[in-house]
Amino acid sequence: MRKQPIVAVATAALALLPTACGSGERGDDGANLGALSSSDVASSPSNGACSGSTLEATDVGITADEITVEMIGDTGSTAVPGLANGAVEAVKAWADMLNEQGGLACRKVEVRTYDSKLSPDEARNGYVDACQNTFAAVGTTALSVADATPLTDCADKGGAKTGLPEVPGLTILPVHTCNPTSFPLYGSGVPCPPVAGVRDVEVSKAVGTFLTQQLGADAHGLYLVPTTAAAYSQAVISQIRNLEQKYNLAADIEAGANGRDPQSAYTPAATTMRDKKSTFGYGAATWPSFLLMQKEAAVQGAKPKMWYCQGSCYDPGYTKAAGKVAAGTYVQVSNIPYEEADQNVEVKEFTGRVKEVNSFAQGAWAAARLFQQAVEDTVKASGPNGLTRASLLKALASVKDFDNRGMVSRSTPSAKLPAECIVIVQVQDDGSFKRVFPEKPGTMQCEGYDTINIDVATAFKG
Amino acid sequence: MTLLDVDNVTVRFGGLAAVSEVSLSVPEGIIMGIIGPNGAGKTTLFNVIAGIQAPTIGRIALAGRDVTSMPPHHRARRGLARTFQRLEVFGTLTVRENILVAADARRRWERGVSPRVVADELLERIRLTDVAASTVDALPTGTQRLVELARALAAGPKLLLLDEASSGLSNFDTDRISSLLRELVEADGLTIVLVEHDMPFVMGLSDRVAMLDHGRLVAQGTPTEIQEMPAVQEAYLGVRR
Amino acid sequence: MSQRVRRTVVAFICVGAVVGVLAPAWAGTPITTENVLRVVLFALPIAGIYAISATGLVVIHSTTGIFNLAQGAIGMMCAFLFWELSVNQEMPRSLALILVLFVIAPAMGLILDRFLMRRLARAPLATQLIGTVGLMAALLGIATWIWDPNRSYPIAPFGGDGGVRIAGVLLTWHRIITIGVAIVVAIALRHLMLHTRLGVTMRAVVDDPDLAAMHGVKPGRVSSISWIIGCMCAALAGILIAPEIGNMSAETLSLLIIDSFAAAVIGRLRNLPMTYVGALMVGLVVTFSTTFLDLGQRWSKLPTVLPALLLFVALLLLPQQKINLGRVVRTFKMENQPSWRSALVAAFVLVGAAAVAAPLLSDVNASRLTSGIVVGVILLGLVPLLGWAGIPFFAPYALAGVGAWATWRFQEYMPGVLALVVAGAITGIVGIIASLPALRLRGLYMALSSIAFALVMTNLVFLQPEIFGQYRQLDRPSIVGLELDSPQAFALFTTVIYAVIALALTWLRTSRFGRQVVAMRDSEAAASCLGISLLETKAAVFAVAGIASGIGGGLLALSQRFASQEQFPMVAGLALILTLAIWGVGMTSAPIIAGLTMAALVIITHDWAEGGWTNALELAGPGLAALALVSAPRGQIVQIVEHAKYHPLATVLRVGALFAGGFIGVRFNLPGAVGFLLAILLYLVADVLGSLISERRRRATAGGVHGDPAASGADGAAVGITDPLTKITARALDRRLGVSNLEKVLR
Repeated sequence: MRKQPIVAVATAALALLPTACGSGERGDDGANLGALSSSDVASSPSNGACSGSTLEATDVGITADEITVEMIGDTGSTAVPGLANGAVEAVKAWADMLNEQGGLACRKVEVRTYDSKLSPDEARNGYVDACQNTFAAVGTTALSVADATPLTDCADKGGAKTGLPEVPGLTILPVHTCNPTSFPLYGSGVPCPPVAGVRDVEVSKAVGTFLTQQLGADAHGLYLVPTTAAAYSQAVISQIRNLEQKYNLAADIEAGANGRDPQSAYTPAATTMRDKKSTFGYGAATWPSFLLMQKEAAVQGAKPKMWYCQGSCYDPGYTKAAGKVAAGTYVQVSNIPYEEADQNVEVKEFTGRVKEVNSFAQGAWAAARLFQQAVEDTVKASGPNGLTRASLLKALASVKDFDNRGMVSRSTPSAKLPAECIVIVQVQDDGSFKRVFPEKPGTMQCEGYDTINIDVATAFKG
Repeated sequence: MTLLDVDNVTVRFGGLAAVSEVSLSVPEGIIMGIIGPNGAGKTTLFNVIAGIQAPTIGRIALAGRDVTSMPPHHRARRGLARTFQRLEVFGTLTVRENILVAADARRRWERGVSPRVVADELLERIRLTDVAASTVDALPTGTQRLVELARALAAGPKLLLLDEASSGLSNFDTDRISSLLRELVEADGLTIVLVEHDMPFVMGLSDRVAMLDHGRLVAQGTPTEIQEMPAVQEAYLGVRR
Repeated sequence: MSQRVRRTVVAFICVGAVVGVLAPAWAGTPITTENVLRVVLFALPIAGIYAISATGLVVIHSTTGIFNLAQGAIGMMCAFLFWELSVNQEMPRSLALILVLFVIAPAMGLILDRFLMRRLARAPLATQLIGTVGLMAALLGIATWIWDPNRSYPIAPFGGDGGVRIAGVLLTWHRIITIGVAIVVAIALRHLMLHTRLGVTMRAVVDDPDLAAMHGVKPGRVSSISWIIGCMCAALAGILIAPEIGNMSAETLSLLIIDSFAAAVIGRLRNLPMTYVGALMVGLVVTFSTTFLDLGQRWSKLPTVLPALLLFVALLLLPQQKINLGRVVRTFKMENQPSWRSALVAAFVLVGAAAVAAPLLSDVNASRLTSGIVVGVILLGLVPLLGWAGIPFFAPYALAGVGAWATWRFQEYMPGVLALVVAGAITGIVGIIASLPALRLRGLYMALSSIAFALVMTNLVFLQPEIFGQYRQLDRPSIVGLELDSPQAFALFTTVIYAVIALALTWLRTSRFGRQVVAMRDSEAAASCLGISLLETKAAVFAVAGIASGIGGGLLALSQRFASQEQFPMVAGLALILTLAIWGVGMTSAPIIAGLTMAALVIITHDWAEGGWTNALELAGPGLAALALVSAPRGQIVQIVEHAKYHPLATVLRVGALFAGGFIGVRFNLPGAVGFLLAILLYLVADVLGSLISERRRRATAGGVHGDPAASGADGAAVGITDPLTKITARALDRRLGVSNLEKVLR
């Protein structure tokens, strides 16, 4: 109970979690869809690259036999114990999988875990620990990171301040997202470097396309914005303004959702929806708040054509808590739904190896795969002894259009843009999720970005 | 010169008038006793004079200056000090520290004062040197009253209000206090107003006596005069049949 | 300026401020009767929630004298138990309801009363409030442990779908039931309190338990009944509110009570109908602002802060006595004032120990140590306030936040250390502003106003764009070229700052200012009549507190290298005070011990004893802390010091046992939990041994009347005897009592 943010923070992070997507429209990555055999892995022994070279300890966390990575996660906070358990499990499962297949850069992968306890202090301590003991931080799922200097100040084996490479599972604050040695798959909705004032912000185009397709002309409705912390409203407001201005999805009301509000706090918004006959309800808040809004709207008799959940609703907890109310709700995700495990090898691998499948786990898994990709790129270029922190950072900076074998929205990590590609699923009457857009299973909708000129800090009122 | 002027003071709490149209004049250099049955309003009157209670109607003047709207600490700086009916000692401090607090505060309006010297003198004078280092909370009530008195004197007042100062004191101590107070008035020029229940004490000590009953001033005069007055006798002994 | 003029000026300023905020924020919604009616209808359900929460608060306060901050948490437990029975165990709802309301809640009341509340009732106010904070934390911990917060716990509303439609707004049956139950309970309890014998007895026991006992009342039994009723109210509130809270968050349910404080205060903490009116007022103001106002970025969080602002206003508008002629309550001395010399020695030892230990620590542990010490510096500010002046001010983080911001702001223009000094000064000024309520309010109302102050600071002032609207980054400072970049150096730096401030405070305490402050605490009336200005003294104490806590806040920002609004939450501040109170609120050594134990706990749980066992300990810790607090309201330091004085051997044994257990665990690489248990086990063994030894010593020297004088020491301290009974005194006493020849007589 000490200095820890409330549960709403934790679940709010789920809303921010850029939902990944895979390459939808065939084209560039079509060839990558399909079974990945171990011969594709450049560094596995079967390739022959490993035999014949004596391995050295090339940097901190790399020995002749092992590569150690640090997994920092909020697993032991008193407020929400076990929050990041899925993410930790995912990274460990990934390491086990690699070790089964012969290792990474010809070495065994070791995962060192660190409990950041939802505390900025412990998150920083985790980075310090990582700098001293491991090669890189992989899959970081710490919601309270507020200071990235331990990353930038980290010295490598030779003493040079190369910085600690990090591929986090998620980032919340711009100071973390924009850290030069951190390569999250997706940004936090605010462009880097974080500067106050009006700026150009990129948002996914596919969302607007889908909504206009569904709602048709003369669409107007509710926008639900999370207000528990400034970072959350700032992350989502750009897309909302984009939808209002570019796609003419006018706002009948923009309501703020605080994690602490009781259901009656949503009565004014619900009555407005009903009186103005809103055609949609767009929720960017965490699913508990979104659910309260839906329930209150049902109570007051508002019947929008469409409920749309931009964030954290792809969660059985939501449908279980919601019951009938959620049926028909559209949920936006940036990854291939787990139900389509047989449509995508990676999804199958992930759901097969990880028990606690949630968005934290999925984010950490994708991050680990990105790390793996960058390592393999480095080994391909300079051999298994060419792997240092400096070379890894270079490799991470040059990764383009990484989509984890089609499982997530393609991302160029160095650009730190939000997720481009989406899949829309719809909640069925029995509480399961069924894909509705794009129709072909195993695909994602990618249309690039809209740009909107906005000051995120002052954009949301009320 | 009139040191204390109580001018038509009335204090009402809701419907009850605790003090009703009381006017008193206390000239410099005397000891005035205030007597009256329980609930007569004596302590309320003191609270008004000291500034803790605001009067509903009326004025208080100290040495000619109207102090009715002055808070207690300003009145203290004009030479007013008091003791309390229900002890208000600084219980967690020692006896010496209690006196020091008063002497320290006094430095604010009397530059040349040395608090240590004042404290030592008073401890001597009131025979509290034995217990100087004891925590006041741990002392018996009688001694605590003496501490309160010493503390009030340490503030170097011109007008001293004593509220039942002899309560809880043995006869021996009461006599000692009596002579001490006399000395203070005659040698040091202090003016004293005391509320008392101990008749021999107050009658033997006071120059003038006033009596309150049911919030009203019903009699004033010298001790001898007061004792003869029928109103006083009635109040204390009841109506003669 | 006369009273009346002052009041009018203040009123004008307030109205002006309100209009200044509202005018640009007007949303343009037309003011029709329907809209106004709607605002009322929106407000009713929220008011119902506040009313039913506040009822429990008021009932418990008026029957036990305790302001129960854990009221919401108790309701939360009952709500979760209701979920457990009716949803998880699939019991029929009415049965589950009856079980929770009439069996479980009363049982909780009995247990709480027995083991915690009875002792709290006799403790000073600050201890009471902090004790209930500990209870809230403990209940939160237990609930989090049993019901995983990562899952959802839906409860269906009562009364099913549908409701009553008025002016286009549907009031669901559940909400009507909530409002109705609140009214019914208020009326029933009012009748109970005013018109029944039980009610009068309960109120008598609050006023004067000893006196009541002398009239044949059993205070213990009455206290149990009060808590049973209180817990039943809490359960009712919890169960009715839970369906309205998304996902049944334990934390939300427990903290919702804070918004009802305003309602309870408007009801003067004893008038239930007025409490209801207060709840309505709060609800109306909140819904008014969300309906008619379109608050821009700066004021966007205003609706969440409105209950706190209203609390402030309600507290200040209550008629108060200006100066208390207090009952002389015999309180424990909350401090053992060390001599200046021993304080100096202690400071040198502290800095010396830090200088030796810091370089040996790993980076991570050094920064954890720093965190602990920084907390200590922040808490140092509370020592003059809570310990010397006896002013219940519960907003350490509010002051620390100001210091953090000021440090960030001035770091641009001057070296970090100087910025700290400036930050201290600025926070001192803010402290003086914060002292203004203390002029009118005392005791519980003062405590509540400080909570309101903390909320307003955190949720309104700190969110302003100029303050912490954005996250602020800071650099590590350097002194005359010495870089303080390394965690070890910074840890030493923080220790030095702590030592300096602690020494300064000790000097202050022994000076005439210290005497003046304590005098004011002991008797405001007497102090005032001696020429001491209460206003100046209080302002000065708050200024000192501001300086210390402000520097602490600056250190916090420097050590974490960032400053944001989230570092200074109100509830965490309360928990901090709990850790301070356990060790002793009036001692300048207590804050660092509190900070170091926190750091030690983090280090142990992280590095050594990982796993469910220590997680559970962390969760149960606050409850244990509350119990420790209740058993030693003066603070553990005083206890331990006196224990060491009178039973030195036993103390050494116990401490030694703890360390031995820890050492064995580390040396032989035992899994953390085992090592922990071993340490505790050895401690208990040493405890028993120690008592045995003391007992034997006592019996050996005891012979007839003159027992071992030292034996009376430790027990005597518990009942307020601070000077030990020496042999000489004992003999003198016997002579005076005429029993010096008793042995001869008895033979």
